[in-house]
Amino acid sequence: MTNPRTRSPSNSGKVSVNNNNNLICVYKLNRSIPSLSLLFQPTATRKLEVDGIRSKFPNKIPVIIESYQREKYLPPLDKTKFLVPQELTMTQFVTIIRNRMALLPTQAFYLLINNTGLSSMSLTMAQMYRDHQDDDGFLYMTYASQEMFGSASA
Amino acid sequence: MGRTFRFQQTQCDAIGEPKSRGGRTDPFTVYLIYREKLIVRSKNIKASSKRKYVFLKYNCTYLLCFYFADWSKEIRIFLFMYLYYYNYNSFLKGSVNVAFLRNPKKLTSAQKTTSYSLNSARPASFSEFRSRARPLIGREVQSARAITNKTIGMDAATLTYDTLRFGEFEDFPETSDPVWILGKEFNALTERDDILSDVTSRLWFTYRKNFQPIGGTGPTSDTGWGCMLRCGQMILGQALVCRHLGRDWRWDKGQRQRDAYVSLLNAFIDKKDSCYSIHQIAQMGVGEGKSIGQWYGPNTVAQVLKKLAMFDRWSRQVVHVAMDNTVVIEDIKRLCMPWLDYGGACADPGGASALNGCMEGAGAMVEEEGPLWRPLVLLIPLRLGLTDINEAYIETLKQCFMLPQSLGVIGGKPNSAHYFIGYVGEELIYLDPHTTQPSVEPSDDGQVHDDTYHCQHPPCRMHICELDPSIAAGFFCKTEDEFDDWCMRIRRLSCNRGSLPMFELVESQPSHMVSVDVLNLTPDPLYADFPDSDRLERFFDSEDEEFEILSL
Repeated sequence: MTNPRTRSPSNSGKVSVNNNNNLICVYKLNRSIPSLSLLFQPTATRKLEVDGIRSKFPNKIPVIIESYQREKYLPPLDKTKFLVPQELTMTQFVTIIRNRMALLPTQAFYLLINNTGLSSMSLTMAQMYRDHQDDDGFLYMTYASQEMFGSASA
Repeated sequence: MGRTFRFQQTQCDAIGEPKSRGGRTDPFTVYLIYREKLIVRSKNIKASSKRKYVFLKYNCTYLLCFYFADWSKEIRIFLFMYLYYYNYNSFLKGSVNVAFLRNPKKLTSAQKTTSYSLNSARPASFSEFRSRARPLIGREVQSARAITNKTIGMDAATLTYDTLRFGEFEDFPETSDPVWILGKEFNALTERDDILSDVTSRLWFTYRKNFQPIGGTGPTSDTGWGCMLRCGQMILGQALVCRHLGRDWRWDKGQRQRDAYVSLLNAFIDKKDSCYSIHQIAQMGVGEGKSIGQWYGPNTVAQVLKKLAMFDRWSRQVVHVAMDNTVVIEDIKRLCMPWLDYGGACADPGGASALNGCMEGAGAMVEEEGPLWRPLVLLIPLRLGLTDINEAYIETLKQCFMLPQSLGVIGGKPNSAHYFIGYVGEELIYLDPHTTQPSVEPSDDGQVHDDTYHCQHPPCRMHICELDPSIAAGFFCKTEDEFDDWCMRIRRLSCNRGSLPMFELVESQPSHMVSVDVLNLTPDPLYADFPDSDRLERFFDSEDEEFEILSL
């Protein structure tokens, strides 16, 4: 079967279907270098990393947060890998990220799980992890604001 | 060049008029109309049973139209067009529903399916189309341009919308699929007029030119940047229509206008002191980090409308923008019933004095506005995917248009904002602001020249999958009962299996919101307990980046 996390810059933005759970992953080329090297790590390596960290922090969820490649309005996060308490709700988690970015409450900010959809904000990280964790053991999220509309030719 | 070309049913319509009603072989003239403007007139076209297409030339664009001949009335329906060459922008500017096909041979099977499944009654002539359609080359281009310019120059002035009997056009596919427009269901086969009349009754705000400069020295036209602002006006306009005239109100062209209707239109007229004018929206956007003339997103315009609504003493309605795809019922009730102490005092009969104070305020409000609820405009900005809309949301999105509280959706295709008012089958029905009209001055007799504020041609349609994932859904709840009903319906929808809810409805905001301080708690106490060897090992595991540890 195809490895959903084998990514390369050439297929950036391409959509492929992860047959296991019908999630669509948009492979992205991250603008931050640490994450880029992460992209090329084989799944096995990352799986080992997750196993290691999970055994040390059984109550924390390993999460990777990346910026949407075409995001123009949100500031970049200084970190991509997070260990999040499993009882944290999505609302709280989003608040953390929003604060990190120093966003106004009126600014649009969306965390898309596995590049597919918005999560229910009342779910806890443990529930999210149970439903959406990747084969390699990470929970992948992408953040994005909203597109702007206007005519390019004008 | 190098663009994506797609093939699709277009919003262009064409009429052929038989020279005489004698027989099938009589030559006829074809008028091609796009957005109420005559684009091509082609004379002496001979119809034959074999040939079901005609080539029309427009500038550098080569149009191939298939037609159906209905000789009992007129030859009138051209189904689709083949557009070629790069200079299409001149007449397709701002258009959205016209798609392009450069090389039909390169059509994928999926695209073919899309274009053909729209209307199964089309002639099965794709192979014919493919074999005969070829791009113009060299001199043909120039002569085509010359011919077309001449034709348009002569005819555009004399032919108008009315003379071409635009209204007779079939605007919807002959389908038994229900048509849903802002919470009302129609039958496309039997209620065609009702559909058109409902669409026409919506307020239609488009680009305008020659209005007062924004901010005194700013732009006098919003062409090219104001489409999302106009969509914002449309969705709020619809809310005001529901508020003051009712969902079932219909526009009577040329009839004496009701006072409420005149006040409503005046709130949107392109003047600096109108409550929701382009001037107000553009200037209020500065507070959202958008300078005048910059593009807006659905959330931007929602935030601006929320602020502007506070100054609208006439409607006294609340615009609430639900952030983070979560609708908090308590927040809304507090906004719409500010005179109620929502913090629990109501449940405590002992706090009578405090309660009395509140109730007095409420009593005053009751006298002033009637119901104990300020009408609510609920806008929910969303992102239903990254580059494309996640198909799991499509059913839920459709359901949105079926709710009686629906105000539609503002969103668009990449770069073009639209106001979506409903759907039929797999297509969204929308009003398009991408037409520049001259601005309208209010007249002295208290009536407004409102012809250009209603979309009198059949509404545009597009496939639901083309929708950009950034949208804002709107709902209007005039009374508390309507809001409760909306909550009930949303809850029922979220129980549906197989479709993802677009947003979440919760009773109250979690009280223990994380404070900023907690976030900086690194290193984690747990982590500090680990022996050094473990820590080293962990660093080795992920050399590129260590984990950021969050704790409560």
